[in-house]
Amino acid sequence: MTEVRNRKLLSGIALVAALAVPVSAVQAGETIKIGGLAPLSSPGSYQQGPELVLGLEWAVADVNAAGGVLGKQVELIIEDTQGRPPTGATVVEKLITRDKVVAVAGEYHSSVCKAEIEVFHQHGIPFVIGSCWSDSLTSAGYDEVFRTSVYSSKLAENMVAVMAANGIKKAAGLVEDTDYGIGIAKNIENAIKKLNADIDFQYEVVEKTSKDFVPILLKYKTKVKPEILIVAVTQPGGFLILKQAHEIRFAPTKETLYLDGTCTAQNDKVFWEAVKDAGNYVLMSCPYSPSVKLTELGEKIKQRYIDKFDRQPNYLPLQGYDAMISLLTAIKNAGSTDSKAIIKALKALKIEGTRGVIEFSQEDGVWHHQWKAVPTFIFQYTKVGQSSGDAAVLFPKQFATAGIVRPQN
Amino acid sequence: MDYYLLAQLINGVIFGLIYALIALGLTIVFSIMRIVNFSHGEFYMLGGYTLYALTSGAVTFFSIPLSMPTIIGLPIAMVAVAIFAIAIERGMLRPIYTVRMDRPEEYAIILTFGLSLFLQYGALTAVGPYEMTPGAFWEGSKHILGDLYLAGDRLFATGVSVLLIAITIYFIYGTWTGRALMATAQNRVGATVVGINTVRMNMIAMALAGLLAGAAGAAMAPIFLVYPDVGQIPVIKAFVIIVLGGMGSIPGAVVAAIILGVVESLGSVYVSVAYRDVFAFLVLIGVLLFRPHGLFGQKERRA
Repeated sequence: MTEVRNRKLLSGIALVAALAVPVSAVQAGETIKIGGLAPLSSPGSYQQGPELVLGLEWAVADVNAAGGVLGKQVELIIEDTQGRPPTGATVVEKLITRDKVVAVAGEYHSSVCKAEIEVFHQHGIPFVIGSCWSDSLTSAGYDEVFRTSVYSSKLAENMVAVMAANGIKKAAGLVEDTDYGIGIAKNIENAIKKLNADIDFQYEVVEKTSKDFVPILLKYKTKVKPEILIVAVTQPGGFLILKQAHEIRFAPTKETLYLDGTCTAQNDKVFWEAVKDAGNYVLMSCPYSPSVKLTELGEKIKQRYIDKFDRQPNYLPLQGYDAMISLLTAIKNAGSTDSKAIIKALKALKIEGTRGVIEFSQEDGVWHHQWKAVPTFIFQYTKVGQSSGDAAVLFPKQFATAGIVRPQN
Repeated sequence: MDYYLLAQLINGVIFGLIYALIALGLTIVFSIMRIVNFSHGEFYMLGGYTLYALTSGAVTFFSIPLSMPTIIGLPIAMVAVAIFAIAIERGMLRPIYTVRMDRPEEYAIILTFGLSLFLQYGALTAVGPYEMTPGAFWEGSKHILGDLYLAGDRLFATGVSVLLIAITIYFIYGTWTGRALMATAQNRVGATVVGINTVRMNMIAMALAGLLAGAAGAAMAPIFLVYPDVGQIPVIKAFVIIVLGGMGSIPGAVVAAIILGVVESLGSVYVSVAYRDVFAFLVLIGVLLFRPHGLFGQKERRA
């Protein structure tokens, strides 16, 4: 009787064990594991994270559909970094030591990226930054860190160029209390000196979680009187600043323009739903233009997004796709999943991404392992509810469709 | 004439009154039920989402898009959140009072904290991560003085705050049920002895908290947007306010909220906007050093 019971027990355990071994584990030997990072929950920018993940996933799906890499399917393990640097470092450690990923791509918050690159550097695992813009990430000079996204100093130079070209002499900024926000303010100051522009620029650092920005906006309106307000605060804080600047009749007005430095305004349906008529005449600085022709791959991805969501994509799915396709192509070129071989292949990489031909600079400073030619644009909405694809392109000159339009109030 | 300082003061008082509405429900629940409701911020969030669902036309009911005027949506949102609060009290919090258990306060803290996370992630999954703005209560910006214009919606929310604070104070101090609530807050056993159904008082306290948080969430949704963790920061401020005002004191909560609004407004422009959210804690530390029970607090907690 005992033997029968034991046999039943053993067969039960065997059955449970068989069921517990997931299909992916069975195939584990046949897959190449890649990590994906993004903020998917609070206090991270969980509005932006899923857009970035979409690009990472689509790149993996396309590569797998074409037969995978090195004869194996790619298994993407996505981790939520919650916009917290310690969480970012912890999940990277977990991806490397427990999941045994061979490389990682993604991330949105510069402060989180900053913590993560230390772990990648420690373990020698390659990391392609999806959308962290702080200059400090590439200028750290780590061999393992590459970036396909735009970087702050380039965006800052564009903003200063547009201000100078439009005769703007006084600018004010509100930037979030992060590496990204403070970095962009410092880079604007540097760009003003570098381009020898006659612009008086001052800025204040704000907590991006604040609700009421009226006091500081009222101070700018009454005491500073800038010709342009540059805001580098991610949503929802950035949306609240815009709504409240409009509420107190400060910006966008005939006297004061409004520039969104985060490009969150490019997600047009979300933007108009949140800010309504406050968004008219807003300028935005972005690493992608819906109205400028992309590469063949880029147009395909853009159309896939429109078919799925019935709206124009913002820059994030494209940046995510570029980061992941660069990584997977490098693994393919390396012919190996060895970290050093992948890093060597990334250095020598030259592929057509969604927004141009991606190759990483070998120079020092901010250009270390940076895609230098990453495109950047400045747009302006000129109608309430306008599609980002119809927004006027102000910069760069070769793509410009209009000059700055000021409200008539 | 330079109205700058006055304009900043007015904005501070207005924001303080908005804070007071959020803090009021929290302090009532604490004084009656002796629990700290960590999910109060999510009651606020539900008020905003309910208003959006009722008024935006994005939600259909038997194939009919719901697009009622916001002024009608507001009381419905309040009632909906109050019903939800009652359900939480009956389904989850009542065992604290009806079942003998060790450490009931800890049970309540863990439960409401878990509920807060559940509701936030539930909203993220069910509604999505993006910000929403319901239609306006009062369109456009209104000139206040000097360079200060404020949204009609902000003034409307302030009016709602003042009205609901006044009604709540009348209800607590001027009606039999209010006095029964105060009695329960002062001495639960004594209140039972004189015939007050204290379990029912808990339910009334939660309903009141739901009504007030729902009103705050709905009235402020057109100004501050609605998204899954919209209640997180306001509720932290509300905690500061109820401690500053004296745990469980309604007048204390109102005064502390106005002080906080003014300090944040003036501190943002005369000290640094970078520390706006820190001012609340500085004021709290400063007051508690001299008045450990808060501005209006007493050793015995009372409504």
